[in-house]
Amino acid sequence: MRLGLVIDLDTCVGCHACAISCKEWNTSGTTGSLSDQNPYEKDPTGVFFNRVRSYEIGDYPHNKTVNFPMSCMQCEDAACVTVCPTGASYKRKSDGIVLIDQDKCMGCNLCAWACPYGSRELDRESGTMKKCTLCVDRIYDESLPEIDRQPSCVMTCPSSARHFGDFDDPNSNVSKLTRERNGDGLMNELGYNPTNQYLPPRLANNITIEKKKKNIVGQVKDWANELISR
Amino acid sequence: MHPAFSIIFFTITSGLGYGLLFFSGLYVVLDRTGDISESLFSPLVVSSIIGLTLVALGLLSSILHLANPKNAWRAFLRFRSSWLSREGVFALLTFPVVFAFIYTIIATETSSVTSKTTAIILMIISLLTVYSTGMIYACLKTIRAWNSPLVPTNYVLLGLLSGALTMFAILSYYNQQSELLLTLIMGLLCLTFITKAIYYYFIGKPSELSIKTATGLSSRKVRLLHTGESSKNFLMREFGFDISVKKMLLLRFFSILLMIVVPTLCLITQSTSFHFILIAVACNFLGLLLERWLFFAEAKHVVNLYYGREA
Amino acid sequence: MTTTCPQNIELEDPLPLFEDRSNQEVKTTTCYMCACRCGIKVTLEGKKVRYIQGNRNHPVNKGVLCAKGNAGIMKHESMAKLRSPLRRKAGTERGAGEFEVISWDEALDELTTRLEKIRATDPKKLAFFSGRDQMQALTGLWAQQFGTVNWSAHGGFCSVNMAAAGLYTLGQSFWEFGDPDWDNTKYFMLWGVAEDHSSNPIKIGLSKLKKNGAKFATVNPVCTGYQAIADEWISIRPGTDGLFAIAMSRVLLENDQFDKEFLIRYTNAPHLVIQNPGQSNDGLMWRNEQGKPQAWELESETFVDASLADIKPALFGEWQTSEGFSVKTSFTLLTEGYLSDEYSLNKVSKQTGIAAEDIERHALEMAHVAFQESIEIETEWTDWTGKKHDKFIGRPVSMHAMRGIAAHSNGFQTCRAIHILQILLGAIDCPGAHLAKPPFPRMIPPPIKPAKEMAPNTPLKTPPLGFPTSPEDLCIDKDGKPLRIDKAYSWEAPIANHGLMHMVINNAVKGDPYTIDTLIFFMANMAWNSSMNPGNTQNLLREKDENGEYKIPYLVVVDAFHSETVNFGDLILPDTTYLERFDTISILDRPITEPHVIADAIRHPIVDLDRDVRPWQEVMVDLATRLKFPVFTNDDGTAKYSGYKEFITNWEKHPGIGFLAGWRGKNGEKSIVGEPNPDQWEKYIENESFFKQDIPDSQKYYRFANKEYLEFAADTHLNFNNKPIVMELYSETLQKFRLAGQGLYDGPCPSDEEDKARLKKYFTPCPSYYKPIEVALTDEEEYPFSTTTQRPMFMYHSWDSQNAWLRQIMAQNKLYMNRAKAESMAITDGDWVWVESRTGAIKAQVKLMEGCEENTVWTWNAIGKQSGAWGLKKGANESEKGFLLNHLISELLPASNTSQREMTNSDPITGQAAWYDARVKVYRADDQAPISFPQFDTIKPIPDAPDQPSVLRYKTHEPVNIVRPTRDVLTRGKKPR
Repeated sequence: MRLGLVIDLDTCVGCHACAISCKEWNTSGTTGSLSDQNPYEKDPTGVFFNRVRSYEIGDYPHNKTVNFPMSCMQCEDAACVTVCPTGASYKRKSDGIVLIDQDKCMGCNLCAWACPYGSRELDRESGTMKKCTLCVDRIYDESLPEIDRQPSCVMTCPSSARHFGDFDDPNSNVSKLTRERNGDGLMNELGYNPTNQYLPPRLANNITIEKKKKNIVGQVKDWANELISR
Repeated sequence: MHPAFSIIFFTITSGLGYGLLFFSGLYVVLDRTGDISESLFSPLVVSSIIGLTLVALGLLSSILHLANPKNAWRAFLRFRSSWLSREGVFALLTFPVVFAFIYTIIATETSSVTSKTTAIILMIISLLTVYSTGMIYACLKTIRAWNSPLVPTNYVLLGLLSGALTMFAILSYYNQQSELLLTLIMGLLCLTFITKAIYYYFIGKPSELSIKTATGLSSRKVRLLHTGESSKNFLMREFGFDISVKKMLLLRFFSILLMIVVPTLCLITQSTSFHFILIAVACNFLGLLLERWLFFAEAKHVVNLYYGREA
Repeated sequence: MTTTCPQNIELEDPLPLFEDRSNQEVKTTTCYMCACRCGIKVTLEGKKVRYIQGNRNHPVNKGVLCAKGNAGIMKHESMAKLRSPLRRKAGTERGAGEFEVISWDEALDELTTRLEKIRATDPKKLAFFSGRDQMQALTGLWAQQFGTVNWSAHGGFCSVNMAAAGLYTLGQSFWEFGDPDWDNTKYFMLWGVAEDHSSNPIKIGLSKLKKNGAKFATVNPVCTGYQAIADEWISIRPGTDGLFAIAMSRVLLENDQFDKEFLIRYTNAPHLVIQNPGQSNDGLMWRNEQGKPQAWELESETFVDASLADIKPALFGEWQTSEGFSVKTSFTLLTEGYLSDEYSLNKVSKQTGIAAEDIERHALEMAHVAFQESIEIETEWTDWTGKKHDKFIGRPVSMHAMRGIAAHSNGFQTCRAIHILQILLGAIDCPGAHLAKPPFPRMIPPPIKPAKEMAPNTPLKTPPLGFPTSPEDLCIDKDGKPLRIDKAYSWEAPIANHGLMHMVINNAVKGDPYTIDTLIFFMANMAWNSSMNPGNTQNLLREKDENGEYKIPYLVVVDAFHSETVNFGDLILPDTTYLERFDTISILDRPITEPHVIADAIRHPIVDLDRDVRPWQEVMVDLATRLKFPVFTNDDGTAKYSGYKEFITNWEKHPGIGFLAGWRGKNGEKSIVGEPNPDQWEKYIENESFFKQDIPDSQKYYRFANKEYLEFAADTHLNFNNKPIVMELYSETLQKFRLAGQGLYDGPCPSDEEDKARLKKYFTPCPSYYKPIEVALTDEEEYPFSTTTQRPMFMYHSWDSQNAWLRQIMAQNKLYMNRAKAESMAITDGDWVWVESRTGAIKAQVKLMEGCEENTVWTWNAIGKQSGAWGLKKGANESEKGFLLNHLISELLPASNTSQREMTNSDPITGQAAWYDARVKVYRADDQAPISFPQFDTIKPIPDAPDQPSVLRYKTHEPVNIVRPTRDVLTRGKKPR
């Protein structure tokens, strides 16, 4: 299995539901808590696995805004795994999820240096690196109804901009979406083979119009009436 | 990259220490010991002990950089894939090798086969460790300024240079001169200058990566609108370091001046004066501090692209 | 270690048990992080909240949840929660924050005594205004029982224009009154919406329509949020949307692409209007002896009763009558107005900033979709005449509009213009178009008149808010002076359906129209972001008379959190969070119904209360009982209800109709209509805290003319009768007021010249456009920029800077400017600038962007805070660097040439606060110090406030780490997998 996410840039409205839902699930999750510093004072900061940024393409008035959520890409050739000296950072053989064993991490930050996507953050309170776990503590949990065995961010997204599935299965929703919508990974040229795919914004279809400008002769009150019954 | 003093100190100190150890070994291999009585206070033993102490200090400093040091012992376990692991293993192995070296040069003659063997092993492990340190940075494709063979080259050369200068100072303290060592130092000074210049040229070239390639939104101009947090987060604290071009050029100038030019001048004019040699060592060390600081400060991690910054 | 792997997948790397379900409990309730009111499932662990997620079965959000809903934990953990009733210490100044903790008994005794006295002498001395929109049905009932007209909720400064325009035109409107048919629409136009209460449904809907290939066009001066995923962004000058709507309607008329059948069958387009200038009946509907409007029948060439079923009336024409005047059809008048020169495409283009060819294209694209791509849904249905149809024809063009349209002094007319556009396209309550949400559509307007008479110890005869249809309905005395403290339903704001909460403080302090004794604010931040000119508003609250008494003698603030307004209260009554109380989201109130689903919901306590606070609902029932309101008192004087729960279950508005529609009847077997069920609350809790009932297929569309639906709506009291609803293109109500302004009306007329001028100019019976009043009074050269705000998707007004997670997303708001424009003014990104209006100045930091109309600057709503409020420490970004645009806006217009009166800065028809009419100039500050201006004193913490921790490590159980076997560490090769 090769589990991962598809992010649809065509419907992401930048609402941050995914970022907060992730925070909420994971602060009591397998690598919890996700600490916050200065929560009620100047310059609050905290550990988030998912961050939503926004970009503008082009110049006014032909500009477009694109909202851009990013979390761990669960790369096939994850450099963060290669560089980790303690073996805390690893990729699961069965499903490809990249995890950080909190008991082993020594907080050297090297994996964050190796990650081009900014997926890993140091939690100052535990001294360890933390990242998206693809909600590995949800997706196999049989005490949850099957439909809820998904990452929290995918379940919560109000505009269906996030999808979860197995990229090794050509008939899965994620595989189909990637094919149909021309999805691609980010910064492929670095060679990390990211699993998460991004779907580009769609182009709208043109609507044909009919012009029937009538000769506006005389006053409106003299315009012709059609016989229409009530 | 945010320059962390503990890491800067670690790489310089351990580089210097390994340079010292390398030249200690070289001395034995090239039969340059002359008529030194092999005791605990002979120059080679002193240089070895100082070298090892510096290596240990460096290691301690690097552990300070860790957020969760209680797991530091695990760092040796991923030798197979991680350069940091490899560096750790080699650093660890350095200790028995140095003890063996010291023992052999005291217990046997410095010209004996055992001495020469341990000396060669010492030289190899010194090079390997410093090379590994450089490779920790060079293997990262995310930081263009580091992702080059020039980086481990510079690490090795600068380690050798600072070690050689320190060795020269120790020998001078013992009133010994070494023409060979002086020649080697001059050679190293030239070599480091040239490689440093090539390196600055290399990282001065514009990057092929941009916010357009990072986001894949590559058709028209792309600008950052909002990052999703209004104060600095971990990524910007770690990777969002800013340095003005003016400051950077100034520091480069001074680092080359202190690290290479001043020692060159000292050694050309006063190669026999211990005080001048000390000045050369001190200036080289200061220059190294600047050079290593710049090494971090000038390095831009590719994640900056997502923040509308350069990388 | 027990594994939790699914049995059909054998994982080679098994996982531990992560969650101890035996220590967890899942409860359902309704979210209240905003007014969307989604259904949520709350997982509790021990006493703490482990997780909040959307409820899949809930009709509103169907399982999704926005950032705010997901941050509920941190709302519950907020440092700003009030902990006990407070009283301003005797001898201290209002606003100094010197409070003492008192008991509930003391607080309520004090308040009851005071209210008793007011009620027994002069009830209007109590002003009770409700901000955040909880339970208006209950607070309104309470005010009515008390006997004071001085009540409203916040709609007057929010979006009453949008609601009123719809209710006087369609019998429904946008937002909670109606929604696009997301499933079937093929073209959707969004007007002036950044983020809206219908937050999750809009997001769900937009993704659906994009997937279906529908076109999404958006009209907004700013391109963020929803606009980001639009197919076309139409950048528009704020306040000119009416021109755009009228111009597009004009294009439809000129190109003969409008739905004539729809107009004739369902609107008053063919109704005949008297043309008798200078007389008292000029512009009124021409009625027959039975009072019915008339039309010109084309086949018989006679005047006929327009409400008859089997006629073929004319849309266009003018005819002479035997009464000495001619009559024209409404539609003729509308079209004449729209085709006049002031609405030529070139003129409209210049003022809106939208190219003329684009205006034409947008209109024709909509027409193409409406008429060439119409859809049919095969269902049998019967219209009000008894005629049977076998399908619903749909014109699949839909729209949605909100505050960007409403918050202007021309918003009412603009919103009417948008509705007219929809009507011309035939796109009302048909498949793919704009669908009403029960209890709408309703009579136009609902037959409720605002109360005018007050007497001691006597409830009002009608509710305090209502729907005037003529000058007789105004709440004025015999001299034409306003009866209400906010001057709603006076000549200044005749159709003020939601009151003018933003004027209360100013009017009470100035004693215009009179002074009051007690002002109760419920969850409204009037001393800060909900007021124009907050600095001045704070000064007004502190103002004293010549005897040294406060001009507003007694201020009661009811809130759950330590807001800037709480700091000004004399008595603070603390409320609970939404996870701690019983609550109703009732159809009688602000419903959560969907177009085809009748629904309501409750909240119930999920977590235990840990402090001395009480739900305001309970307190209101308590006060009502103490004050012996008739509805709350038995004949023998004893309390009728033991508390809120019993009140909700047993009170009936009409026989069988109560607050909650589900599980009525003795055994809970009835829906919507039924006897009170004492176990109703338990039934709701058992059923995921909501009730829903689907509308049958045959009743889903054309409900304004759908016989089955009209009868159902009348039987269940959703509507007032079962008559078909005739949409009003031409508003006779407005014409009556215009006649009064001309001095011609046969009834009350204003005497003040300013009032007359406003009625004459603004109360056009067909939609018209006029420049926003403030803009017309401003030197546009000196103040060239429009200003607007929008609410971010992750914060709800002032409520979420207290939230430790949400505030990390944005703790400082910036002033956004168009980049090219800023660069031409030598302003660079991140500069600090001065922004000046005619009444105020602020200093803020800019962010330059592309997606901003060139002559507009904007910021996010309510992020700027006063230092020390909301549980934040001094120096927080919100206060030091954040800012409010409010300081630039005044609640009063400058005195004009004709009169020296300071009129309210609001829509002259509804009194809607005209926030976005403000005009400013912007320039780079010489002093680039990174602090915003103005700065206010730091608010003192409340007496029992907890200390803010500097680190949060929230979790409800110790994490279960996944341990990687050491063997794997040692044996795994170089490649990651």
